[in-house]
Amino acid sequence: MFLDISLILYSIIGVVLGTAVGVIPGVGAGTTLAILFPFALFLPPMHSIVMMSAVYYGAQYGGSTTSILMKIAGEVSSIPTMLDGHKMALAGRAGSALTISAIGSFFAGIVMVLFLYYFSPSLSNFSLLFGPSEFVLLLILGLVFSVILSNSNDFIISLGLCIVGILLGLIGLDPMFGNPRYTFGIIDLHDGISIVTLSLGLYAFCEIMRTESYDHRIQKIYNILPNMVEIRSSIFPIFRGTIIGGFLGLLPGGAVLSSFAAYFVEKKINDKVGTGVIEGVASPEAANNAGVQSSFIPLLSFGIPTNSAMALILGLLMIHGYTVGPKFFDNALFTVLVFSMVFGNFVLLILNIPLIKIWVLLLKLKSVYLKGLMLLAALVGAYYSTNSIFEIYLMFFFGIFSYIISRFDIDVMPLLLGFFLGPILEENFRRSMMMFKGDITRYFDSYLFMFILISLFVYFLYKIKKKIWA
Amino acid sequence: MKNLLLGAIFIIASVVYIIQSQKLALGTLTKMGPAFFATHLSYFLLVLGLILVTKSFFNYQKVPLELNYKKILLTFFCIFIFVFFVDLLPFWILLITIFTTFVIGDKYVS
Repeated sequence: MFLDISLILYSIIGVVLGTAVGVIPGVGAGTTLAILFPFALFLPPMHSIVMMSAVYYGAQYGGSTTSILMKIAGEVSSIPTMLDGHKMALAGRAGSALTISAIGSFFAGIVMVLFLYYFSPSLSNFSLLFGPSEFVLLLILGLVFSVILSNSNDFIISLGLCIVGILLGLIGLDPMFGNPRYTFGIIDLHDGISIVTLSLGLYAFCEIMRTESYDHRIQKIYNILPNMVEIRSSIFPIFRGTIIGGFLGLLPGGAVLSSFAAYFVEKKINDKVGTGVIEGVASPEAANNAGVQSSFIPLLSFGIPTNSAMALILGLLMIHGYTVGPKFFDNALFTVLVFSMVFGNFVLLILNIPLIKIWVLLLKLKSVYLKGLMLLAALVGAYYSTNSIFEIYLMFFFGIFSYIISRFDIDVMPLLLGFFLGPILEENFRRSMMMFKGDITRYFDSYLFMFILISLFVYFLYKIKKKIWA
Repeated sequence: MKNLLLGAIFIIASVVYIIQSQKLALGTLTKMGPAFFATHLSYFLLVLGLILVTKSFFNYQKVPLELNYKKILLTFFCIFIFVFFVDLLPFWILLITIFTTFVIGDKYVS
């Protein structure tokens, strides 16, 4: 059954489609799965689930290509890759960045698929340890690290930008009461600001408006393959990224959070991360793919979808009559799914490495042509992901904002992460406060919460001690 | 200059959110209203903004912004073409038009 040629074919279609949509900013795996959903209902159950899963993890590969080459993140999770990857591309090392990104993703994908196969039931219990209170602290931890490790070197500014991001993320309908808030009477804002609009504005539009030309900066594109030093430097970051992504992928929103977390950890270990080094590409890419694969664990164990794409796959499983839960692991579909994932990851690697030669040719274009292409990709991505003209103007506004503050060398990463995590943080905080009946001290009842809090406290003590000694 | 600009942005953003929050229910810690989280964050942002503005008075260094306004206008013009013609022109013609406008315009603005 595992060598069924039609299953292999659907797996290939899925990963190719996923890679293609991952390249286009704003489309993303969730939207593609939603479009494909009605068609998938007409396919045999196994074929449809194998294909839809392949689209989902294939999109993570595609997202890194435009991030590295054009500073346009096809997927939100590719934003950390963009920071070092694009700088590497400008230094003539796009080939290395793309190759390591493909290898890192492949390694993390395979490791997590094997984990999925052998350790799903035990790993799934880990995700149950995280209630709203633990999640609140984890999100605050993510935000604090984004502020501490941003390139701005000014804590107050980074913290302020992070709060601005959270406030922007709260625009739209209130998730509990359903009434519009902070929409300023603009109907287009009722759905909130799209993360695609914000990220394209902050990064792509800012780059388009810059006068600096790449032509003198892009050096000769020498090696497509990474050298031994780069390979050696990538090994541990890939391992670290895989572990971080593997665990965070078990949590809601974790697949996206994992690439940011891996980037911050790498930056903590290596000061050069952020200046265009391979470690800044290897770790988030591995984390991103590991997170995607591990997000299947809570889905298949408990039926908990950790994002919209997973929710669609769960819907498909239910429509086809499969019941997720511990017994699902005895089902033939589980084995087929795991084999198709292993196969899909191999296809992605084979597909992506030869394509790198073609992709890097993009960098040989004059910077004005490259920026023209960036403009088109950003416009098409923003318009077709939101179907709103208003979002285009908003993207331009964020572009100008980012362009102005980039003149002071201020990093907009905390704003973006605040925007993404803010609504999740608010929702979990509200939920936990309802559970605890407004008693904030109940947070300290959780052992996991205390563990994270003490770790954070010890970390800050260590930092203060280091500063005093210095 | 940096502190003053960012401080001003933070103060404006927080004041806008605080004013908007007046129209929404605040609620209590047990049953938070739509404005609870944002209001508290806005006050915090206001404090940060005031700190930055105060800091800027003690350490003011005028840094020229050096923005290329013509490039900003060119980008806006390309967006305008997209917005205005997206339903009128075939898609590929629209994309070629925007690309050509940007490339030709860039020669004059850079």
